[in-house]
Amino acid sequence: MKKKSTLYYTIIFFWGILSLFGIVAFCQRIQSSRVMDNPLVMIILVVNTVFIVYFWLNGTKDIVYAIFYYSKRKKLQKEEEYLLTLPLSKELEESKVLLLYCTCNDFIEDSLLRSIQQTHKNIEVYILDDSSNPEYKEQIDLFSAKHNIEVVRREDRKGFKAGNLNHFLDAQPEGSYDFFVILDSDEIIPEDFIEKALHYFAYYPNMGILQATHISTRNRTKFMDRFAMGVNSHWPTYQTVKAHYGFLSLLGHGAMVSQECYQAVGGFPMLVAEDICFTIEARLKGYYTGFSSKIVCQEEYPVDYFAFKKRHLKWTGGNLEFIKTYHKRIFKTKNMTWFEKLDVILFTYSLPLSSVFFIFLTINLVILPVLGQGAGYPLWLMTPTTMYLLSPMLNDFIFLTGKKSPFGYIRYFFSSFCLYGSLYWLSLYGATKAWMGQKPTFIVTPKEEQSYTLREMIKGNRAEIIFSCILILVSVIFTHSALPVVLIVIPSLSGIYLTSLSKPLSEKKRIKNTPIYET
Amino acid sequence: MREIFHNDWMALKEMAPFILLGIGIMLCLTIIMIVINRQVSKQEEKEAQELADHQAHLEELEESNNQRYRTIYIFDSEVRSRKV
Repeated sequence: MKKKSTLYYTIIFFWGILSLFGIVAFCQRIQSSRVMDNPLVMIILVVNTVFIVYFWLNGTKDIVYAIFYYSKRKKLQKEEEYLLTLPLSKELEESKVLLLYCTCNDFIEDSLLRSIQQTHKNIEVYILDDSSNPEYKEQIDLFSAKHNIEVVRREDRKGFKAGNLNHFLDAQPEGSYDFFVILDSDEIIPEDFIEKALHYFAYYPNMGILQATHISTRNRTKFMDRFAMGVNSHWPTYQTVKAHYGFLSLLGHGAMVSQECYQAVGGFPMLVAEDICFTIEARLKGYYTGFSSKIVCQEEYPVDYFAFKKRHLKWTGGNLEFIKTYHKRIFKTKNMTWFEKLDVILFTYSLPLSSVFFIFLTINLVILPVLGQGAGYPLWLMTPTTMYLLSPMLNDFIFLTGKKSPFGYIRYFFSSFCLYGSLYWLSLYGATKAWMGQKPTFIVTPKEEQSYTLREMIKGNRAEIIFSCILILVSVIFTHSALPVVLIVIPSLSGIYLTSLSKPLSEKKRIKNTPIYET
Repeated sequence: MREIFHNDWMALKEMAPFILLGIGIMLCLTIIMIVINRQVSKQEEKEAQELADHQAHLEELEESNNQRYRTIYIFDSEVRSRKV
């Protein structure tokens, strides 16, 4: 498995040109006022420019990722099609694979039942149960007795999912299995998952992990129905490009890991983001992560806005914990290329950097106006800024064309803008807590639908509402304008609308949108 | 309050051409990518169709060969039985 640096050279090329213009604008800004006289203003403006340039780098990344995927998709898929036609060695054909179904108060019988129907015969299935709820435990015990599947439980929940997996895998005698597949409670893997995955392991000898692509199915609520499309568009584009031109991480589920890789790493790091931490450890030991767009697994989208927020909070804390633990090793290692490192930075640093973005906001809303200075950048900077605000949605724009009605298309983009924009407060809160040393916890994303009263909706979004009001107030007091914060305030206030999408879908639409029920 | 709205509106009007330019560039980029994507998809469909046709043709040939073999075999058995 060999990765190419062309993607990141392209990103840096376009970003470099744009940044040059930005720096020229910055210099003009300095010349036009007496900034040089005041070192504090000078430092603040430099910091401001660094933020803008970093934002542009992220935006360029999203645009180039989409361009690379759609222009190279055919070539990359051909390679996958070719490797799937190659014969397997007898050793691989007979390899023993463990299916590890991880659950914690969220057992879904149907998902497991579908996942264990594999064409590869030498498999063993285990339920790694971390549940504390007696109802779920009983349900699992009944299922286990009916289908003759072993349930593994432990005394505590130390190390969350990583601890659960390690507890089981470390107890296995050496050489008692060749690969294991990680299944989340809502995961459904296709019947040829293992059969196909083995071809990838045969074709790429230095691959330790194979991550399969996912689509979102079983949409039961309006919220799931509205946003699940984003999963279907995101997985193939970003993970395919990452696998060949960046750093692809294990994404925690729907993945197969070789025993050799697991042994070399010495178990899953006991952290919230155990997947990326494990991938980094594996990469440092020389194992790559491959991606299959030909093995399509199914997952569920968060059931409502509150579940989505919980997952986001876990990711923010988990990413920061990962950065704190691994940044030195990533920077120092010679086992990773420069563009792999840059890819890790651009994808994992963006969530925790929300709290750093708050400094940018404070500079522009409070500090510069107090010092009697406006940001004073030329108006043309609005063009790249607009482009880069839209750039994370470019892939969706392309993917959804022809799949939705014009009205559905506009509704999806407006809702997506509100959904992701509304997370700013949560990212800031989660990242600040983690920066201050509070250890993140592994929150299991709720899977059961709930309906909320207006009061509950307001209560669940009160932090965002208060935050928005304070931002507007600060902006109006210091800059005499609401414009600088409008793109944060509008989505933050949309939380009530997003929560109202928790209503169940009509039976007709549920069947129409859910291929799994049709099979 | 009114003054703030008025100022914001004026500032927005000033920024509008640059914002629209940004939206326009993204729109052009999207359209180009959609066209490329459609062409690739069409080519894929064409190749899949060609492959399916080829497969069908091969199956047809195999079937006709089998038919011919069966005819020869029946003919051969009849000749042998007459000889006996």
